Amino acid sequence: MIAQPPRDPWRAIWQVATNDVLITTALLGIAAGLLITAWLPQRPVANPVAYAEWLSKTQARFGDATTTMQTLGLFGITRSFVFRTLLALLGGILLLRLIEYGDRLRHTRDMQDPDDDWIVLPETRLSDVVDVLRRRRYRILGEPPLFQVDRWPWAELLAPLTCAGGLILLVGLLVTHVWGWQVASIIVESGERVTLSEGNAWVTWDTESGETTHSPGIVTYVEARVPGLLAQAHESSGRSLSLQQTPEDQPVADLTVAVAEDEYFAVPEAQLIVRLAPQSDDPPENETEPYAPILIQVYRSPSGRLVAESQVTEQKELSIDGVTLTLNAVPYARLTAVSNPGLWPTSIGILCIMVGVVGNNLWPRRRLWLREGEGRIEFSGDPPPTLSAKRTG
Amino acid sequence: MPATLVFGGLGCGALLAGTGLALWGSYRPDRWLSAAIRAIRWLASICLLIATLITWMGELGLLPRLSSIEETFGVNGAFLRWILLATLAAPPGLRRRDHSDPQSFSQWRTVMLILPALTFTGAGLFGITSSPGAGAIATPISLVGLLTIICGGFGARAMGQALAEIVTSPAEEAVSASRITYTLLTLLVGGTALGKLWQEGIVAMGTAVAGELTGVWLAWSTVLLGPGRPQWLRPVLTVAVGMLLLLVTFSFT
Repeated sequence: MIAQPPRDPWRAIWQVATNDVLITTALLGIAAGLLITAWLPQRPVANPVAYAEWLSKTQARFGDATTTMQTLGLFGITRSFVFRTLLALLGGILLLRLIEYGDRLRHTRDMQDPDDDWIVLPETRLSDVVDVLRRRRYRILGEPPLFQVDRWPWAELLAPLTCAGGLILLVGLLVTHVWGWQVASIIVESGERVTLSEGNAWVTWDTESGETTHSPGIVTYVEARVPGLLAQAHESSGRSLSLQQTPEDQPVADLTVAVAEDEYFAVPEAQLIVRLAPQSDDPPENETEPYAPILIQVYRSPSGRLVAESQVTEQKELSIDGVTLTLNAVPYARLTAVSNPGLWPTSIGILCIMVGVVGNNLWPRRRLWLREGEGRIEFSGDPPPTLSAKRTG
Repeated sequence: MPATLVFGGLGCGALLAGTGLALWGSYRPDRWLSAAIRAIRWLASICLLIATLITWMGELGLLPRLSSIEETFGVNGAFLRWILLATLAAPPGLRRRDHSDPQSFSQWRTVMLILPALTFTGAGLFGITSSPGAGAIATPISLVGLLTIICGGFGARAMGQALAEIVTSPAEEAVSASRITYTLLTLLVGGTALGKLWQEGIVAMGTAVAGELTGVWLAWSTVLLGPGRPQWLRPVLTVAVGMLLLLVTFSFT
């Protein structure tokens, strides 16, 4: 009985970790997760208002199935343990493959022995074939009668470049997740400087240029323009009345309010409550258009009786029982500010993946051997299309 | 009859004729049959391309007369998407297969290659004729949307060739169509991700680009990376991922 060589468990683990089935499974799992996040609304975190809005929309859409889907974790895919495990697994696989490609690159530098069957190339001279391949920038190794033809090193570098790009991208995403932050729905009045709660950052916005200015190290962009109003109230004698948005606020003569959603303020001395509501969710199509109209409803306090209702686009004056309410449109914007320390690694990773994939498809790795003997030319291995065409005649 | 419908109908008719010829070839093999079907597919592609250009120029307002035609026949953005997909899926490959032996011609392979383009053309024409005047919406296609449709068209080609591979023997052109689709998808997903990253500072999950297209790109990666055995696995994966790409194309655009 022939003694079997002892199995190397590390080699077995290596083969399992670097085979195509495992990476295919990981990629399919991540692809399924990403498609679910695109098709199902994901649960917002750390924002109670957004969570309440998400919950009502989701329950309206899915009804009784919402609880089941939430239990299954379908509304928090990217934060789930399984998804993060798949990403970590993919990172590990890419690292091992990168090592394997590096080792292969080193070993394939020199001439190898052919391991495929030999196939005859009819009506061809070896020197002609070698010249054609040399013109197509193949590397030719060896001497007559045996040559090795390949695309070392450039075609060999593309696959490890793709793996390296994937690894760098995952590292960039991890850095962003751990050290980055995002603050959305920042309401900013034109020319006003708003200090953010994260990292002492600040942002401003200019309505004329439409540009944002911000502290270094962050990226800001305008989500939408938001209608706003500057409100003033006067008696018939011309005396200015104070306005308050909440009972805790100091009374002010001029009150500016961004109307991204329903807003209220009071004129305590006239016992009036004013409700402001945006009339359209769509932002203006261009910067020269007036802002979306705002609905104004004035109620008598404490009875709650509606005493006036109107719409304002640019400017409006309402007279209610000797009180003149003046409303002027004020431009606001809703901004998002992002701090992304993983910006550069993510960008480099994406670029490397693009170059690696496109290059690998345009200039795939190929190796073949050519030999001349008994008046005929034979090849073994993976021939380029020109040689395949010659073979089929 | 508006020119769009005429050329769309001609393209559909040519594809039907090619399908009919392919099926007839199983009873009367002829060495000129494959050449005739190639010519018909090129003719169909040209007709569909003209229909696409006319519809697109109408949407851009370069053909003002088209506005009354749109009202009458409901030619709209959805028709443009179907016809553009069909235009990309219809042409035969540039590499000719040797059919000097009539017995080597496979009618089912040819039918599978024509099937995606025929389906898209029929869907586009059916969508117009079933609701006249109801669909006169000139919905502009964004650049990303257009590139997605182009990826979808090449994905449909890859699907057709994978279906042909399932019913007959494997062919190198099936792999090349899949690689072209994958390359285009990589450029599209990578380019839009880079653009969003530098404009907005982050590639947000849950958007069409980050979620759907990246998911399709990863799924297509498995088609090319997946194991080569069993032999039916790769074409079946190609068909499944191709259908996913088409679903994303229509949901996104």
